[in-house]
Amino acid sequence: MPDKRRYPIPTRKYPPRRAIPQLVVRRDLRHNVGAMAGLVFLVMLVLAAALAPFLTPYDPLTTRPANQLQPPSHYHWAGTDLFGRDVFSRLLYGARISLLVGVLAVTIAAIPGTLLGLLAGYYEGWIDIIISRLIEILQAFPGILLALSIVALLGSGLPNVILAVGIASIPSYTRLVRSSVLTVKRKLFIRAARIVGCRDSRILFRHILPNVLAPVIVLTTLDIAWAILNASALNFLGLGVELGTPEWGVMLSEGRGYLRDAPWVSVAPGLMLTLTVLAINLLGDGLRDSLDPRWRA
Amino acid sequence: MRFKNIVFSAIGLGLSLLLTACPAQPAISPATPAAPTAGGKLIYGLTLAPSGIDPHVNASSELGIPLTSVYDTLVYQTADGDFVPGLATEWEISDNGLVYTFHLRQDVTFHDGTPFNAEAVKFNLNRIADPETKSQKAALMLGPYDHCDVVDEYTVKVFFREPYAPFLDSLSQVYLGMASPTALEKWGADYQMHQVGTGPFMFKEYVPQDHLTLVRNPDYNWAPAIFNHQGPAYLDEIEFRFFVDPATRALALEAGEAHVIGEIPPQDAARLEDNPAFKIVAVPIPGQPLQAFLNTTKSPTDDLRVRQALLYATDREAIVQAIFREYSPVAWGPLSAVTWGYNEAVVGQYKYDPARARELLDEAGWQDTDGDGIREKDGQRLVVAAYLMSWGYIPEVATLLQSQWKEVGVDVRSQQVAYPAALEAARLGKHNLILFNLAGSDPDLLRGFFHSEANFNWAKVNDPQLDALLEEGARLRDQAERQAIYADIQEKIMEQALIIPLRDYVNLNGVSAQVQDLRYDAQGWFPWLYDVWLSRSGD
Repeated sequence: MPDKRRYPIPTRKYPPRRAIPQLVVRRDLRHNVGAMAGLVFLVMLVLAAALAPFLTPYDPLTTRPANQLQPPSHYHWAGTDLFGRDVFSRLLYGARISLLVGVLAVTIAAIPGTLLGLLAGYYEGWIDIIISRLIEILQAFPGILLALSIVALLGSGLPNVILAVGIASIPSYTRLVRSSVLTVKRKLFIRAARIVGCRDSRILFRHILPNVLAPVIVLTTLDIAWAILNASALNFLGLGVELGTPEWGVMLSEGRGYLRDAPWVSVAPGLMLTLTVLAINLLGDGLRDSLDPRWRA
Repeated sequence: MRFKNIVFSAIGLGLSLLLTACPAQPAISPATPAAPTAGGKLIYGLTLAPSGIDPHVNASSELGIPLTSVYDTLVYQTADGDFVPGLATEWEISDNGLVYTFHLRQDVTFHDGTPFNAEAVKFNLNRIADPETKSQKAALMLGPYDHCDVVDEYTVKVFFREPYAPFLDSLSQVYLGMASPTALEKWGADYQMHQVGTGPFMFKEYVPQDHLTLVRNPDYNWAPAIFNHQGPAYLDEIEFRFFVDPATRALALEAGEAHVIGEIPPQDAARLEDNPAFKIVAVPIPGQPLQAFLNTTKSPTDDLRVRQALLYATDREAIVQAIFREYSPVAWGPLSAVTWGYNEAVVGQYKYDPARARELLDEAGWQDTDGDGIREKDGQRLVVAAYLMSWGYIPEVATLLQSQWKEVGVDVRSQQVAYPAALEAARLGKHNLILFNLAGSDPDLLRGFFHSEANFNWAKVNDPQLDALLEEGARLRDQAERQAIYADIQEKIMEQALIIPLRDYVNLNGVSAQVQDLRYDAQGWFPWLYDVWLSRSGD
């Protein structure tokens, strides 16, 4: 179709001026020792989880009762549990589940949470009232209680736990995005976009969304840690994964009765959980320091 | 190995410090021959906080542990299953089995001064049978109760609509204990907080989830002959506290927070036994062993060969050894070995034989065609759906079942559920497998599980012959005839492979060496604290 506009579109000789801060400011992050340590740990964890079958000779599910509650040794690096299963290989396979839970739960939370926040902040009025009230209802419950109720409603099982933990953290995204949208949409370039005749969807997704994404990314990182911890808590309570699944929360729970005689059964998954959550939080903090304009020098 | 040693020596050091720090726990020889001394306060740990503690209304076994000392029963049951006089000095049963006549003691008063007499018995039984009471257990234990007649002040006749053999067994339990009619009328629905019986201890205070306190009844002078002494109890006071988390029980004993705690985890029991300051009183519980009910109406367990294969594929010795250690015997049938009427013929049936299990599954048409280790038939994988409750080591047992069955090509899909959810799933028949056990001293309890109309018919069995036998067992009075019938029933249940028996329930009570003469009643759950005294050697 021929161009019917009267004025020629200026060709791009210069890169467009960016009102948006760059998403990742590498120099800042690279100098953040904590964040880098967290990142290194997480990369190693992901590799270990992916390569689990090559790193350990034991199947995480095979029971050998005759071999129960062996202390850590060069055969079993983290000992064996009540059923004679190798705790170390269960830790590696457990990392797969925990990482998966973290990423999926946060995806479930972040996408609808961000969308709702965009709509509420952009349109205000009755749409905002409805969305905000709904979110406030969700927020009235403590996260873990809300997740517990959702699991009670849907039934136990890992998919339901992921869904529950995800739903429980939708409100934080909605609120964060809504308030950012309220600020951004009053800026000149949005008005300009509207005057030029951009459709709402274009303004929302091409102009507003990139401008509110930075804090969402920070929240996502921190939220992964929260999701892993909460999913483990639900599994610890016996509401999540199926019997025998090497999930860290379940492993913690299984070892609880043997703390005196075989502390390694609980300590190993507890330590992994702590380190993983710590690593993600350090990385999240680092990201916030480098992304959040308010925190930058 | 080295790490274990370090941990052990650290624990040992801690313990020896603990022992030197508290002179109340000296080197004690477990069998102190000294004469009982009166006085002292016993702290008894309960393992579950019951929602209600009125024995006529509520069903929990946990309420019976304290309240057995508050109430006397008309008859008592010895460990051999004989019935001996309690509040009733003698009794006659009519030839048709419909009328029981009880002659009562004349020297008994309730803790509130109300005299105990025939009217009181009538009042109690009528209260239990009254639908308004909403009794969860006692009313069922009364069976086809019709009414009571007061013959004279100390003679009472109890009438039944049909013969009911387990009546004396029911009467010997705290759920049919005799409560003061005055107090029942005065407090109404709030009676559970103000209970009044005739027993050796009086109800003082109950703070739900926290503690329940009993004090000695100084006027008690009507102890049944099965006890060691007469007159008031030795202990001044008993406080019951709650230790719900199994992992904390042995620690609480070692810290001196309780003298007795039930249901000590096996691994902790082994450690306590090595410590001279404690002993383990292991009480085998009559009733059902821990067992898996197999649904006979849902594929694949609707096929007898599959059910039998699951039995053959189960290595019970390995399960018991790994989880319950040397404390629990392997179970072979629907009743535990200490239950009256237990049939020894079931012992050794379906002994672990994975080769036989594979044969049976092959015969039933289940073959592993795609090489994934799990058998298939007509495109269906051989999967059993298990509903698991979280108590009583059920998840642990199921974990081992799962891996044992995988060896023969059976997959287990499990769901952990709360008790009500398990009941619902079982009612709808969504399960292939549910693990459960119920305590009880009369084999009539099988009627509640294997009768086609039973509430807990989790095997979904519908066998008119079995129904008739179960009904007959409840009716017959002759103990030898009953025994024969129950022997038959047990064999039938195993023939049809309705259950996988796993282990006989043994309650491991951790007891301070200070506690003397602690015995348990025929139910195994309820302690006789009347004879108990605390030794103070080394004070």
